[in-house]
Amino acid sequence: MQFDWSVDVVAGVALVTVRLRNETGLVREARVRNELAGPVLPPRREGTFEAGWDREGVTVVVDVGDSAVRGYACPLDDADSGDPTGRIEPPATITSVDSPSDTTSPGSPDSAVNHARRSLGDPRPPRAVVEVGSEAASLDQSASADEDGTSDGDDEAGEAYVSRPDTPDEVDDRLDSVRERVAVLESLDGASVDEATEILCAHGGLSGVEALASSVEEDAEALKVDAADTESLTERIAEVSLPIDGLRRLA
Amino acid sequence: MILAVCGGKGGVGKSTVAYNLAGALDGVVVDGDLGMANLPSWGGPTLHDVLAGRAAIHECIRGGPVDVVPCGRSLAGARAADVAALGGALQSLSAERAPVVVDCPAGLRADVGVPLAVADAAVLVTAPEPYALADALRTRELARELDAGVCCVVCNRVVDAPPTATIRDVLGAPVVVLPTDPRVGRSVAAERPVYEVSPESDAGRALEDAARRVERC
Repeated sequence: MQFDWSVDVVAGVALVTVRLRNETGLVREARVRNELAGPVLPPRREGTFEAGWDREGVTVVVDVGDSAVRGYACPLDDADSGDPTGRIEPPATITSVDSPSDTTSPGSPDSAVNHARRSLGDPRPPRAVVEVGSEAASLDQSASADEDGTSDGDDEAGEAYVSRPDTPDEVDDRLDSVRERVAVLESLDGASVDEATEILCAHGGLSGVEALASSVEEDAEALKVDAADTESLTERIAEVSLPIDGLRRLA
Repeated sequence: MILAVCGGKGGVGKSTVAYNLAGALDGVVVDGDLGMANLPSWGGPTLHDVLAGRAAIHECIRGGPVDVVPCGRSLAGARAADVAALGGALQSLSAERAPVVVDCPAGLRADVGVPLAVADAAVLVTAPEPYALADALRTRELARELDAGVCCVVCNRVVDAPPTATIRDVLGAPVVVLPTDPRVGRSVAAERPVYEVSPESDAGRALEDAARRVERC
């Protein structure tokens, strides 16, 4: 297996490109391992690593006479970032070349499950509807049928009840949660490699931080709704006038 | 065997068909609707617990006229459920109990795709109306993409004779007509599967026909 690589460094992050060419007469599966100190940040779809990727590298199947190109990012530590082009050589190596294994073949169940996850989207309810009072956010459903039996549990599933915060304490708690999430993202902006690594570790790695970013987007939408409600109420208050003289005559 | 019961559109009767098929096949039905569960449940561990890593799926089997692996009813549980673990859980269950019939949710998201990816076969549930058939067609395409062969199509809540030849040609699988019958509608909530209550009724025979087609898949 012929192997070549190139690396660019941008803002303390190495962008590594590896190129493989299979000159043998058989389909080959090559394991490429990252040799840099930082974790592999591979391409993702719907939060799932693209096929073949993990935190240490990538497994690539290359057809006879074919080439494959893969790329990933890797944050550089202080030792590597001092002299990027001189000290990160090679950034990746091939550790094995074998016959393709079942888990990477397109028809394998693992591959089909990951394909489904990547291509079909996250089915979970958004974090915003769960944050607001977990007890009150319970589904209450029954699988009862109509009198004439023409419906079934699917129809009678009921609707999810989600409560908005009622008390000032609940409002404060919710806003505190939002502030905490925003603070984490703000701390990543401009953080050094060490600081960023510490924050990633504290918040479930890159996937955890990405989930946090997604939650903050949902928080923003929820806050926009709150802002619209607040503005509407303010306008109503400004327009309302109490007919106090008339009420006095009635009292 | 893992059988995925799906159809795309909500409200066509997937849960009822899945429940009754599991009963007729002497299997276990898994309530795979992570966000809107509606099969009989209990106070024990549920699929939410399995997908959050708190329980093994075999601990969640609720015995009854039809054995059920119920799903939790909370949004928090749905949020915490990792659909990536669903495939492995279903495969683990099928090693102990067979067949495993998965009541898939409506839609075409990963919570439908993952069961189809690990299923050996699928049953499409539809109703004789355009939106249901269109969604069934999209689900059929997804099943093919994920290599889950469609055993049959159950056309539910039939009053007038539906165009079964057309449905068969469009969806590419034999059609079983399930007529409107109050005993079918009540079967899940009352936990009285049709094969027990009225096996000789038109609905009972239709469900038996569907079960036999699944066995021959």
